[in-house]
Amino acid sequence: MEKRAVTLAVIGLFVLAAVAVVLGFISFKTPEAPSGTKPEVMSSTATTSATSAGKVAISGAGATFLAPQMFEWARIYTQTKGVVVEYQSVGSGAGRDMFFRNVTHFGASDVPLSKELYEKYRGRVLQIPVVIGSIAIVYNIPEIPENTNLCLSGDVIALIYKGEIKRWDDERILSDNPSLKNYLLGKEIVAVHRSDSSGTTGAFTIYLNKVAPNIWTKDLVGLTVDWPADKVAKGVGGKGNEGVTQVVQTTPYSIGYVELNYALLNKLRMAAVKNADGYCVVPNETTIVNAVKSAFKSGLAFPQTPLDDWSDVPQKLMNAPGRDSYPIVSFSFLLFWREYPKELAGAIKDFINWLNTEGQGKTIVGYLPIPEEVREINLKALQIIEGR
Amino acid sequence: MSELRYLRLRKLKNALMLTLMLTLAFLTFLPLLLIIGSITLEGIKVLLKAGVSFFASLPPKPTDVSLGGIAPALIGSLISSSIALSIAASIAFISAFLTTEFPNNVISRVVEVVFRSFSGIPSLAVGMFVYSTVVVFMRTQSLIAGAVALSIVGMPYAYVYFTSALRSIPEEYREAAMSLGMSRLKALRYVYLGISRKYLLSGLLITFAKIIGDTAPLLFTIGFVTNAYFMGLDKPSNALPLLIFIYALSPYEIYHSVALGAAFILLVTLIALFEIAHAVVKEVRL
Amino acid sequence: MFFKSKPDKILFISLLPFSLTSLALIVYIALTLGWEAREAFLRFGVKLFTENVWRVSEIPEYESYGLLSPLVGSIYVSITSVLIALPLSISLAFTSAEFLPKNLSKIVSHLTDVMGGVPTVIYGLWGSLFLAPVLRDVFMIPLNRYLWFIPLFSCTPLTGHSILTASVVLAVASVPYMTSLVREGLAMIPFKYKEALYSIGAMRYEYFKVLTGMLKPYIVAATLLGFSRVLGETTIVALTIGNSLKISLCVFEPGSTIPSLIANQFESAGLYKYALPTLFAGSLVLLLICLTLTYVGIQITYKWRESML
Repeated sequence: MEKRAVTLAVIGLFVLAAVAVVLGFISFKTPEAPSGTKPEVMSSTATTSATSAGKVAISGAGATFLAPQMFEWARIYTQTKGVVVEYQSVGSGAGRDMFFRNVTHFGASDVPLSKELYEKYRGRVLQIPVVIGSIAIVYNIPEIPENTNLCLSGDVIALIYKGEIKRWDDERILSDNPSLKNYLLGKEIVAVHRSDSSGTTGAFTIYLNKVAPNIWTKDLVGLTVDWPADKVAKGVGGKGNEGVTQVVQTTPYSIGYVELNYALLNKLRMAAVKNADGYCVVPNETTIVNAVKSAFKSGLAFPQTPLDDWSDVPQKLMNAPGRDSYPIVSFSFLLFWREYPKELAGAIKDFINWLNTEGQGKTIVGYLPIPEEVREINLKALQIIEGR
Repeated sequence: MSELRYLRLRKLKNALMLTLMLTLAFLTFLPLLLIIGSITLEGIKVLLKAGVSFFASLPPKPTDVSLGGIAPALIGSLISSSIALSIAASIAFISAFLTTEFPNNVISRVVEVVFRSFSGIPSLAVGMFVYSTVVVFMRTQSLIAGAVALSIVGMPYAYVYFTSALRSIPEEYREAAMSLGMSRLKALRYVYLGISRKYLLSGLLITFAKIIGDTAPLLFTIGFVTNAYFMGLDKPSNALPLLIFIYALSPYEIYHSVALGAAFILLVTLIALFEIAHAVVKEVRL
Repeated sequence: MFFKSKPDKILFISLLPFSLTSLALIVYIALTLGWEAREAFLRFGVKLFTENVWRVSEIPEYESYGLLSPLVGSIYVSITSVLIALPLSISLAFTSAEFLPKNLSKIVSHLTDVMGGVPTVIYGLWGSLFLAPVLRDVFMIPLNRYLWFIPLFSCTPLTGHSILTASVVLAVASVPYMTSLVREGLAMIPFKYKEALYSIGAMRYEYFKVLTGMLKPYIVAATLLGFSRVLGETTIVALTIGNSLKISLCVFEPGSTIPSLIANQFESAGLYKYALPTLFAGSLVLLLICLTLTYVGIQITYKWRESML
């Protein structure tokens, strides 16, 4: 009896597998989505085969930071347009690799293509900034009352992460925060940073290098950095934005940098940062959008089409002039090919068009829509992308 | 007199050792109980809130209020793990049979070393390997690619548990079978399978559990589909652990809830699997 | 090759292709890893394993990588976690296989199975969110306060994400595997020894002592095998170790292992010329270490098994 039961169980598992295989080959249509609109899922091969009704699925992969916003966009687009858009958060580098190897249709990256890569793919790849991201400097000093803000200048932040400012009652911190004199005790600063490689670290170090080039030298700029504070002071790493968030929340007298959405959603205390005009500014919708607008008006040369070289844009966006500009802002880019198979090109164009019109009205907490100036540049993609 | 003292000492040592061992064994289970407890508590809350549709709908958007569901991940996980299990288990079982039946053969030893060393490849590297071969070749991530990656990861587990099951057969039975003039295959079918079936089945289930619960090999191979239920075996899909991993690390409360609900379902599935196994196969009497 | 009979030989040969797929696969994997890693080997040579740097740059000439810290970290973490897991596994194997009454032992082996089945993501998240702060507050801080003069405990724990936390979670996760290895060994000790032991009135303590004495080589082998299994674990370590490239003896310090480095860096390694090859080189080395350890471990088991028969 028992023996038979085992045999049956084993056979059952194999049958299960076989059924799965058979099921898989008979692709079937998706049932109605919960919202009541009807997306029809059709199978389509990545870049080669055509599909019957001309309906396609668009797939993308890349930056983890962009993932929630892409999930939001992809769902809304799928529901309203009937073209399935999928996004996978694997990180900027992996996403770019998948894009270049034609595993996905578009890539997403926190950093634009480097000069070298840009030259390599010149004229074939489009870079389209879709949202503004911003980095919040967060801290955990239990003594500071809720209604007051710590203000830090770029120099001070750089010195803290260099390990040269070690205590919260350091003169250089106090001079910017005279009103907090009684709250900033002689506690040692724990400088929290990302331990994994990330666009957040990239943007943060670009900012430090731009405002304090003598303190934060060029060799300390990058997606992973050999943190000086780890060696000479209390520096620790956290994996991912959530890791840094967690460490800051549980470690008194710590400071960290995270993407704005993590700071907002976890209700972390955010420092005001001293901008180019000397004002202490907290990150919010107005100050961040203002920063991008005034950077574009500042007379610096920005790219004019998605086919241009965007490699120095992050640097140009930092520390923008203007009383109301938050100094640490960045773009997140989507990468597209110039040429797609015919049946795909139309869908891709429509998606880009949607992202730069309706989609910009559907950004979520922590992600800010790009200003009109940039959308105009992006929409030139519609003339550039072609089917073959 | 001294003999009595000696006996007492022995008893004392015996008691001490037993307590120590039981404590250690209990300590080992403490984390398990904690994990199960906290996930059950939180998971049930989520499930109550989401209702039955948790099994049948698509995951929510970050801005949604209702929890949605995890259907694409459930479907993807079931299909990919079943395929992976059938590949991994059949290769592992045949190899286990070979190495236990011919233990002194050079080839058996090589096979054994190779199988056990598989576990040394970081599962992420397995994912990278499948990505740079299968995925790039197919020009898309797919359920199949995910299943291949999972089967490579599952193979050493299946192998270890299968060999350990086959080796747990007392030598007396082996000799008895042989002396009856049974061929090795017949002995396997009529004698070994019967004796070791409990271990075999538990090995099979643990392998399945390993496969269905592994994240890293899927990261670059299976895709992350949240807007469609199922698109085909050669198309991207989703998986439960992947969904848990990605959602747990996102900043959105709603994703944390979905991740907890998914973790609870995964855990319940695993425990149910083991329960069924133990109910089907009762303890073998020797 | 010696076979007792012709059918044996036929059986062996007919089974061979299936078993050899594994061999082919591992060779193919090793070759793929080696091929992807070639640029790193050519560029950095031995320095790849003797230096401790991770400097990325979009300009390839400025890139510089050395895997010393994750390599040392891998070995360190694996040793600690095996040291924690071993006593647990031995007691678990003995209690479940020999000491407990039947129905209790069933429950225990049941639980062990479930433990082996819990996904590593769940262990990892549990370790990172729950265990790390608890370990820090109730274990690391007191140890550091009173036993600071021991180098292992000499550093102030900051976040709880540390070599120790990673080792503990890894140990918990690897107990089922190691237990099954020990149980396998126990099952191979012929009945006559066990019967003889009980018949001379041996108490459980003596029974345990004699059997572990007999098992000693096997336990060494199990340790090696467990070690090689722990070496490749990714998710748990990446979530709990703190991922710092420091090299330190202190177990409260964050560290890194090769898999955790891969998990942390893979996302953007593709942006640089030599980063990805370096990661591939790391996993190739890991694979080679594993092959060696496993080989030694298995040789010991075979010797021991022969001595038992």
